[in-house]
Amino acid sequence: MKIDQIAKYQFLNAGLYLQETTKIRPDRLVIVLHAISSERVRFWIQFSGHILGSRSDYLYVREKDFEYIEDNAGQDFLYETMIAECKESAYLREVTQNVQDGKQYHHFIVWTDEDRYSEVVTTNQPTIFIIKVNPKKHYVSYHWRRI
Amino acid sequence: MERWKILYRQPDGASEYGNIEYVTNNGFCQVQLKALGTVERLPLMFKFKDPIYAVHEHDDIFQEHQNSKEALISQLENDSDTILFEIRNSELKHWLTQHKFENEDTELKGVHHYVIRTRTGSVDVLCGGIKKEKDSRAQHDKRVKHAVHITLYG
Repeated sequence: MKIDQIAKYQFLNAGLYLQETTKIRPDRLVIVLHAISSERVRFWIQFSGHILGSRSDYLYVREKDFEYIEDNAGQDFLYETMIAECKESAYLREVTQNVQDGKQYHHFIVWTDEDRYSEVVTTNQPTIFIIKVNPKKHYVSYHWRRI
Repeated sequence: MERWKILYRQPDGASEYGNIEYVTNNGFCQVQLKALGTVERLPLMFKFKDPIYAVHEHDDIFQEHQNSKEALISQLENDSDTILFEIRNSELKHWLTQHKFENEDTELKGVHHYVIRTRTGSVDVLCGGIKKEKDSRAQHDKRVKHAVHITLYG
């Protein structure tokens, strides 16, 4: 499997995120990465455009797909990658086989080291927000930043 | 061959509902269907029990069921009422079993495969089961008070 990195986040202890996928509207799907530790930032990944399909599974289900992952420069799969675009995707071919609207579709994968992952086929690039914890306040407040 | 068991239907149900909204994570999956063309018809809500093995949404109901396509076409052609099916001898479950326990003799007996379909798309959910109307937590969830809780057949 070949990928292009869309977003990555360098964290010392990989896998401390849980995924929650919400399809809100036909053209809006959001994947929130919840940090297990309250000191970590959270991620809000927003997909828009013409969403043709989505799926969420346990990682072991796609173990064979994820066995050989490299980016398009031929580098080994980088473990800090959280969102990638999948090239030469069988799922993309499957979903778009009867679609003739002339649009360009992309296959995105969101994963952490947690055992669930999500995939989306849509026309637009995702928008990623970081939700930061403010340690100066007694309660947790979030500051949103677009990257 | 897959067998499709009807769990919920209403007159012209599958063609009266459109947009599928859902939430899924490791322990929870909830699917809501919005009625097309009228604000009077309340949304339908289905909730599934953990573990949530897989949730696949797509425009084409045949996508996950290529090997049953012919049988499925004839079944769906004559039935525009059914919204929720349970699938026996599911190919997706079979595939999951192979991937999960390659060297173990198990059938994942606790795993159920449900399909929800509307006019515009469908969702396949592989999970521990479906929550019935009597589930008290569902009734106390304020977010779903405007949705209709369904009574299942069978």
